[in-house]
Amino acid sequence: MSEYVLRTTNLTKTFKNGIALDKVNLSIKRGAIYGFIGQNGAGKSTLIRIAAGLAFPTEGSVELFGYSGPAETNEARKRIGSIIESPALFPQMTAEENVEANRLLRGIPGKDIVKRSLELVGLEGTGRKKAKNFSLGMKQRLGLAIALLGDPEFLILDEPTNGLDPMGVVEMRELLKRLNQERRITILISSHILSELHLLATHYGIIHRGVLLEELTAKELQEKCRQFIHIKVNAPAAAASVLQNRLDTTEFEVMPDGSIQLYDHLEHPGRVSTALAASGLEIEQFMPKGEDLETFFTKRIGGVQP
Amino acid sequence: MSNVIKAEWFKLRKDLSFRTLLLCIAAAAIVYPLLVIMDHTAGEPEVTSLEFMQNVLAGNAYVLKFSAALLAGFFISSEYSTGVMKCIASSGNSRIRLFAAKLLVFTVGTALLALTLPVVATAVMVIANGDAGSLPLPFVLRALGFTVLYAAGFAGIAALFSTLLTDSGKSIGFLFIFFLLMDSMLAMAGKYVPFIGTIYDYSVFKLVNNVPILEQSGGQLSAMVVVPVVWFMMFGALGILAFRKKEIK
Repeated sequence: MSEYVLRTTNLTKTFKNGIALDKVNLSIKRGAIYGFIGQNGAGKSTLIRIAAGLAFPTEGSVELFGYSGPAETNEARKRIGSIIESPALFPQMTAEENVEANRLLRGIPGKDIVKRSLELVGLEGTGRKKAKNFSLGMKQRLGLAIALLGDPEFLILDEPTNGLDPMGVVEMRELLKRLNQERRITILISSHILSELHLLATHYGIIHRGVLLEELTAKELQEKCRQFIHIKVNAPAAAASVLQNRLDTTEFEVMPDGSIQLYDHLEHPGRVSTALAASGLEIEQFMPKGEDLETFFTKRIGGVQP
Repeated sequence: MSNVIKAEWFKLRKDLSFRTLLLCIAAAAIVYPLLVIMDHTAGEPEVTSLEFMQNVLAGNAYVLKFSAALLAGFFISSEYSTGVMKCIASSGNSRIRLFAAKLLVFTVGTALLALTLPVVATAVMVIANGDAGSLPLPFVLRALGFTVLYAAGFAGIAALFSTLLTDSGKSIGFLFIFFLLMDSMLAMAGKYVPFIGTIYDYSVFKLVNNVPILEQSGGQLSAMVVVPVVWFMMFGALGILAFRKKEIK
């Protein structure tokens, strides 16, 4: 049994107007929750579509569960559940009929699985209501119920929290965690809500303009996210001078909003505040902070943190 | 394969456009013979059930073509616009199986729609006229068999273009025009280019008009059977090729 559920080797996809994926070598280990991060048009959906068999690579290969031939990878897709870009639903069918159509398509025996799937996502009471009349959140949940049919080993979710209310987002996160921990389902999840992804993912892949910049575990990310003291004073330039001359450090940044991020003296914040106060500066904010996924991502792709 | 066919059959049964079309054609099939009977002027010879069925079969060529076009748009192309095709194509079933199953069920749907008018209208006329004896059973069976075969021929063409166009509106519009104009265009071009003339002579566009003919020679009957089967297989194969290479958005 392969250690990886998905591996790509030099995966390249070109379109008439440019390159969508450039020699991407991505690997997702069994049991991981892989957060796939990138801006719009970075290549996330293209890679997901190739993995799901909806598009074909220009060069390179895709390996699913250790299988790499076209027929084998297609067969392996029976072990995958997915929501790609938006939930794929028959608008004129009810929730139950939607799940039933997909159950038949996948050749899953036993009609009782339809009810169980709907119960899992809290849509068991929708009755004769047609999918076209569902809210976006209900559609997402129905899409997830369909994706979970037949107990897939690998779940591919492209923006699964789109349209969910705050409670729905929490419920979705808890459900995905439970599926990962209890059923050992590997999850590839792409989302723009990086704070949400930060609470869920065990591994990350950062893609930018078709190039996979980095793959790292949550622990590695934690280590890479620098800790600092966030300082806001009435005169940032004077404070910078105090830090340089009195505390003998240049390891700080003055941010566009006038706040200062001090990466030095983390063990002795008292010395810093004393020095600033002694110089007659009025300290408005002073607190230890750490970079989050959003900051790390922005820096990694070479953008400017607002 | 059977699971994909079952899924397609389930979807066809639940398809609102298919149900509506079936209902509309059935309603028209009940009303039409009654109108013919009511329109009959005293003193004129009464229309026999055989003549009526032949008339209905002649008009049914259009019903058959439009049914194929409409169903192709709603049953095949709409799956691309709603995104359902993504779910279908990523299900792990081979593209050949997926297209073959869809084509098969779509053909059954088109055939059912194409059969409704001649079957229901003729049945109503026979009941009203009480002249079941005027209908030779071999002709009835042959005509209905041909209707199914030509529905398959047109379904093959419609399935290919609706897969290529992937938009219900575009598919229906294109297929309406294509089915309406192809007949006369091939006929006209055939007058100047003998090769096209031969193609037209052995095309579903021309031969579908021969379904109501009562007396046909052995050779004509053979052509009537072989041509729709060949066209169905040819366009079915082209559809499979197109679907295998298609990137689904």
